[in-house]
Amino acid sequence: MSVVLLPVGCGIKGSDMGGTDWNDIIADYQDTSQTVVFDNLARLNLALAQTGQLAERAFTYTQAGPGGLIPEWGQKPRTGALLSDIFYSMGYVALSQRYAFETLVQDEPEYSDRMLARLVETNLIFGAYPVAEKYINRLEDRDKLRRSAVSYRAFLYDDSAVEADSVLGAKRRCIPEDDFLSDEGTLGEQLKIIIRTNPKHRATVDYLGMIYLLDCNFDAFKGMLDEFYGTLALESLPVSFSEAACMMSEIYPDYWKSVGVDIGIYRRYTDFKKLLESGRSPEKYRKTYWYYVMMVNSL
Amino acid sequence: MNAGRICIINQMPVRWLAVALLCISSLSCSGGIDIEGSLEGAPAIFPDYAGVTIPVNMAPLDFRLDSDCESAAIISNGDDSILVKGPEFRIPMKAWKRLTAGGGDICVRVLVNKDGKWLSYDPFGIKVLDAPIDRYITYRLIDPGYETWNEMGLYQRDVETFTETAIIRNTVTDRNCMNCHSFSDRRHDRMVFHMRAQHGGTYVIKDGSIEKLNTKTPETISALVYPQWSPDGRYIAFSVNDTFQAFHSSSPDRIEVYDTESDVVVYDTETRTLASSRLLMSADRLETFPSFSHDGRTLYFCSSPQVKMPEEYRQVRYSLCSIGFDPETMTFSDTVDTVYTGGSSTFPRVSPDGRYLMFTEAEFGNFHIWHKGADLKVMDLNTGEMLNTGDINSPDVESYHSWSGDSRWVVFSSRRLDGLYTRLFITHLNEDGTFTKPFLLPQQDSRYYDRLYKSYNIPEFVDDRVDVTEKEIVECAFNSSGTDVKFRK
Repeated sequence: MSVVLLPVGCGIKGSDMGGTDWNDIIADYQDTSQTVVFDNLARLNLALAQTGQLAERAFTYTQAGPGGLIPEWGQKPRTGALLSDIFYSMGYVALSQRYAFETLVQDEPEYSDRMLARLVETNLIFGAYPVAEKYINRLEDRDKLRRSAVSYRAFLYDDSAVEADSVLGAKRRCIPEDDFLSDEGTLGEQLKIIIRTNPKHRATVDYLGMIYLLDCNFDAFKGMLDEFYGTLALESLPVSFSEAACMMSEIYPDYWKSVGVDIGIYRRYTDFKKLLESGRSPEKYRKTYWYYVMMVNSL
Repeated sequence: MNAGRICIINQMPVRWLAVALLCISSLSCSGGIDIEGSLEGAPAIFPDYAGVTIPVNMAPLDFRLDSDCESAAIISNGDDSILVKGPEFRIPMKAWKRLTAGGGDICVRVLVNKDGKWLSYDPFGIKVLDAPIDRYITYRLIDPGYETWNEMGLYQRDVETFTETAIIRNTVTDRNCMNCHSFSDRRHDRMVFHMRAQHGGTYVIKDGSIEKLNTKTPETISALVYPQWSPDGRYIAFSVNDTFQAFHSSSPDRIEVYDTESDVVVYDTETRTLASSRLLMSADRLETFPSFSHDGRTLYFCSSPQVKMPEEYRQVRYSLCSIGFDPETMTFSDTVDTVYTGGSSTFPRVSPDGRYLMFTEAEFGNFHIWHKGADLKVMDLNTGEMLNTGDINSPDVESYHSWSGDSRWVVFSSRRLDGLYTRLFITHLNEDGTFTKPFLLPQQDSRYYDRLYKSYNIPEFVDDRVDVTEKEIVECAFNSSGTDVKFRK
C-alpha cells in the first residue's frame, strides 16, 4: 500500500492552481522571463523534484533566485500549503508539519482537506498515532476523502506498515536521530543532516544543491559535493550540478574532472565562455546554469 | 455473582468494598433488564471515569461505550438507581443531582445485549465528596501552536452544568491575540489578561471597572507577560520576557519556546507603578513565572542561570525561588531563597491554605506544555517533603494547574489523550497527601473532545461567573488609548 503525496491542484478544497498531477503542473507552467510569480515557480520546482528532475532540468526554466525554490511564507495560507509540500518533498518532515498546521489554523473553521491529510501523513511518519487518528476521523467525515482516510487508518499504531510504505517509510527514514531546532544553523546545514540520515532520499540532495546554486554560493556547493559526491546520496552529478562544477573550475582547476562531469558539458561551457568573451549573445545557452549566473542573476 | 468475584472484592480497600457491595445490591434494581451473565473485565468507556472521585456539584459524568451492541448502564447510589441507554450514556441532570446529593458512592454497571442476552461488565465506582468545588473554571481555547492563530478566546465553564460561555473572543476584537488571564484569590470580579497586536494592552478588571494599560517601560525588556495576582487584590506579579519559538526536527516535543532574557516585576493596581529588585532583574539569570504566597508576603518565581540560546537550550534549568515582599511598602527582601532544585520547574502555585506548593517540572526549559516529560509536583511547605504525584501524571504532558478555594482540588492541563490537544483534568488531594485518579472535565457529548480542534490553556478556578460583558471589554479595547504604567526606580 502506498500513500501518494497529494499534488497541488488535485481538486480538493483550496486548490485552484491547476494541474492534476506533477507532470501536468510542469506541462502547464508558463515560463516567462518578464514576470516571475515565486509561488508558481516554486510549485514548478516542486513538481520537478517530485518527478526526480529538479537538479536535471530546473535551469531549463527561468529561475529567479532562492525565493523561487522556497518562497517567503508571509503568513499567506496558499504559500503555507505550498511550503508544507516543499518541505515534505525534501524530507524535512517537521517543517512540513509546521506549515500544514499553520495553514490549517488559517483555514478555520473549514479546515483544508489537504492540510488535514498532510497532518495525518506527518503524524504517521513521526509515530504520533493518537493525533493522526484524530485527523483521520475528521477526514472520514468528508465524503471526498473518506477513501483516503480509510487507507491512512491502516497505518495507525503499525510501525511496520509505515516503514514498509514507499512514501511514509522513506520520509520516516529522513527523521534525524539527533534532534535539532529549526533556528539552529542554516537550512542547508539542516538538510545535510537529513541527507546523512537518509542518503537515498534524492529530493533532499537536489533541493540542497539548488539552494546553493540559486544563491550562487559556490563554497557551500563545493562543501556539499566534497561530502556527498560518490556516496549513496550523490553517485553522479545531475546536469545543473555538472554545469556548476564547470564554472567552479575557474577557481579550482580541473574541478569538473574530479566530480565526473561529462566532457561534452565542459566543452559546451568553454563555448559559452567564448561567446561571452567575444561579446556575442549566449542565448543558445539560455537553459543552463551558466546563463542563470551570468545573465539572469546579474540583472 | 460467582465466587471469584467475591474474592476480588475481599482484596479491595475498605472504601471500595462499600462500592462493591453497592454494585451487588444494584443487581436487584436493573430497570426491568434481566442480567443473564457477565463479561470479564472493565467496559471500554470514554472518558475513563472508573474509580474517580468527584465533588458533589460536578455535572453528570456522561460517557460512551465503544461497542456495536445494544447497551445500557445501571447507575445506583444504594437507595436509588437509574437506567441509562447507551452507547452514548447521557445521564439526566435531575437524576444525577438526586444520585449524587449529599455525597457517597455511586456504582455504574454497564450492560450489553449479545444475542438477546443482557451481559454485565464488571461494575465500577465513583466516589462523590460532599464538598462543592468552585463553580467556574476559566480557560483560553487556542490552537496548539505554532505561530499563526485564527479564532481564540477566554471562556468560562460552569462545572455544575455543561454550559460554557465566552468572556471575550478575538472574533470581536479584530482577531487579535489574547492571553495570560489571572484572578485575585479566584474572585470573578478581579481579572487581568492581555491583548496583543490590535488593541494591545493589559486589561485589569477590578472594582467594577475595566482599565487598559500600556505596560512597556524603558526600564523593562518587554510589555508585561505571565501574571499572578496577589490574594488581597492590590498587586499583580508579572514576568517580562524576550521569547522565541523554534521547531524540533525529530523530538516528539515538536516545538521549543525559550527566553533569551526575562525578569520579574510587581504592578501596583492603585498607583499604576511597577517595582522590582536587582534580585529579580539580574543580567546573568532568567527570572520568570512569579506567584504570590497565600498571604501575599512571599513571591515565588523560577530562576535559571543565563545560557547561550538557542545552542544551549537543553541546559536551562529553572529552580523554584522565593523572595520576601512587603505589601505595605511594595519592597522586596534582600535575599532570595532557593525552595526547590530538581529538573526545571515552572508555574509555582501555593494552595490557598498555604500548605502546599504545586509546580510543573521537566528536564529543561520553561515552556512545559511542549515537553512530553513535564509532570506535576507538590511540596508540603510545612515539612519540605514532596507528595507522591505519580497517580496524577501521565507519560505525556501535564502543565498548568490551579487550586480550588478549599485547597483540596486541582484542575490541570494534560495532553494525555492524544499527545497534542490539551484537555482539563481534575483531581482531589486526600487528607493523607495522596491524589485521586484525575477525571476529564465532563461534556454532555462524549465526542465533544474528538471534534474540538482547540487546546485548553491556563485553567483557573473562579468562585462565580465572570460578569463583565464582551461588550464592555470591546468598548474599552476600542475606545481607550490606555494608561501608561511607570517603573518605580
